[in-house]
Amino acid sequence: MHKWVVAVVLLVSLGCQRAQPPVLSVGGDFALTDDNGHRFELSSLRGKAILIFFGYTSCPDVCPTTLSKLSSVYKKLGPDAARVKTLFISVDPDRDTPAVLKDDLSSFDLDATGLTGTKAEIDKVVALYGASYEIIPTPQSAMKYTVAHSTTLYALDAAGQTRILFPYEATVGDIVKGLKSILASS
Amino acid sequence: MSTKRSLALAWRLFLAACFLGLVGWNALNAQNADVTAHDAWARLPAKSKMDTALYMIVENRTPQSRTIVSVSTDDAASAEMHQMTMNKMIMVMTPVSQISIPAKGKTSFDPNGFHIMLFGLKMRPELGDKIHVTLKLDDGTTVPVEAIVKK
Repeated sequence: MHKWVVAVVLLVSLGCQRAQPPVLSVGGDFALTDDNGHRFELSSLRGKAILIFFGYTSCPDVCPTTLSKLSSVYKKLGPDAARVKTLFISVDPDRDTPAVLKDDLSSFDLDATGLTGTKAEIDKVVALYGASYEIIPTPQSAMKYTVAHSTTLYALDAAGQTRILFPYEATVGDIVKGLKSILASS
Repeated sequence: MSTKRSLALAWRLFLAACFLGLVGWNALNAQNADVTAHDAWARLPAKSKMDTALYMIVENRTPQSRTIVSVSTDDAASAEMHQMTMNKMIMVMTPVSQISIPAKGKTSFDPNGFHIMLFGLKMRPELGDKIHVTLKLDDGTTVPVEAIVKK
């Protein structure tokens, strides 16, 4: 009797397993500078699921909001959290030096690395991921300029392939579910 | 009229003008009793920054629409009104010169919408600290805001 129960439970759980999302055409390997000032290559993270988003630290809303959301995602992932790495790519390298990135990311409870580089290096990655940003001068403000940027959150599998594009409105639940489906087949 | 009397009259007129000016000035900067701000909070600034965003709800109990034309603070070098706008997955923060509060209505300042940007905070705040700003309205009156610092 006991063997049958185990067999049925196994079959049901296998059936319920989420299908791996398809590989998307955006994405790819790149090299930038990390928040310790060292050279960083995406390929060094093989074996981990990756979350990537673009932003800048002088942005008071989008980036802290996304980072708080991802901190909650990490909490909900439990032991699987160790298999996920978050990369925050700055589109404002003039202001976002490695030290600034390291400082600002340290306030959040998740495994995140800040990445910066030359404008050319960042533009290459932005184009690779189909993201976008624009520096807009704001002479009337103490800010000098503001940066408009895309808000998509990219989820990559352990082989570095892009699997899911989460919109800004994606909830903690959406992201956890998506990551679990990526991790299940990674 | 003799010169002495002219001077005395001129002096009296000058004093009267100063007095009226002061009275007028006080009336202009008087706190507006019918427009109030509540549930105000400011985000704890990022470690490398002395800038942050302030959110609140501004309520207008008068039968006329009111507009916030400027913001001031003693707690930072400057305060400005800003707005977050999302267009086709692209988010941008832009300074705005005024924000209106509808008659018998309210305007919410929240993440993803309007907020007050505070640049150059004079002291790094801790959770629970209070930050004060003053909103100046189009009719010359003011609205005090006390925001609590949160994560």
